[in-house]
Amino acid sequence: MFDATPSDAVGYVFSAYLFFLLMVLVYISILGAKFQRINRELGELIEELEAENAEPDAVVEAGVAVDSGSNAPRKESSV
Amino acid sequence: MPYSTFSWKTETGPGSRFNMTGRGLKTLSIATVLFLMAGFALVFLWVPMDADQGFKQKIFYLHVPLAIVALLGFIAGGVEGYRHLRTGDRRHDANSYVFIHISVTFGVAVLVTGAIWAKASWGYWWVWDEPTLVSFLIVFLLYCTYYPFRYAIEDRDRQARYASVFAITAGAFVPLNFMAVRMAESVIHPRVFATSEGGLPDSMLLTFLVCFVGIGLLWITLVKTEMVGKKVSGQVSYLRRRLHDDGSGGSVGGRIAPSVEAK
Repeated sequence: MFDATPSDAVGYVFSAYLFFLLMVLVYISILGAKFQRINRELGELIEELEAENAEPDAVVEAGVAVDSGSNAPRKESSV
Repeated sequence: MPYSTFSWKTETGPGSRFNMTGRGLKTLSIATVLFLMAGFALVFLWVPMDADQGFKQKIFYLHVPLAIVALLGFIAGGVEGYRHLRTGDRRHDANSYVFIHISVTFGVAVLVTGAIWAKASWGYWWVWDEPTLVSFLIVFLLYCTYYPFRYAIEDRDRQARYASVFAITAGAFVPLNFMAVRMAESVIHPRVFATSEGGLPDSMLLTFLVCFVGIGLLWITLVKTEMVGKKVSGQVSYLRRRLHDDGSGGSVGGRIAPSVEAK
């Protein structure tokens, strides 16, 4: 049977464990990047939603400003 | 609510459905790190050197648990495929996909660490007439075809059904293959467990078990993390559809990777 020298054996063992640790680290960083992308997309959706909600508010506020000074009833935002 | 930079826990309102931490994931991650550190400490600081192989035998505590966990993961993928066919619940298909995905990744580590151990022990990176090595390679390559198989099918329902059939068939092949290899005459690959010589000494068995639990916990942690990602990406797709009302699901999660859709 082939037998590696003791110093070779140490190199082989550490390279096996190092490969495993590096693989786990690479996998975790890929997962982290994926979560960041999901988080970014979620943020974009929230911003879109906020923009959609802000538009009707702006219209309502403009309407209230025009009506102020008159006896017209105040418009209430339905949003 | 202003959108801040990346955080693992993202609150989006009542119910906090976008929780990227996952239930118990933090505890699981800590347990995984502790078990792996304890296992590797036992390997390098405590367990006695093998009389036959010397220092290079320490690869055993990494290589064998990885192989067992990968093979069990393939079988679990088959079980989830069966549950998907039985119930039609897409979550089981997503589970099956993630189980196989993580097990294939572990399979790469098994092949690389095995090759390094083979080179140290036998002087060759690979031995083609050794049934244990070749049979694991066959199982690994079989599961590598899972991805192009999924890619090839456009319709998501058919894709999930066919992938489940694949997972069941291949999952059933794993224990059959294992038994066939155990019955075959081994050329040089060692048989350690349940041998007539009595198997491992207690200290080696304990070290092996700690490493096995650590690697098993790592597999579960990675599976849970992937599932949290799939769930959140499914919910983001659902939100996008609701917001745009255009039927497009968004890009998160990819085309082949099944996501767990929000109801």
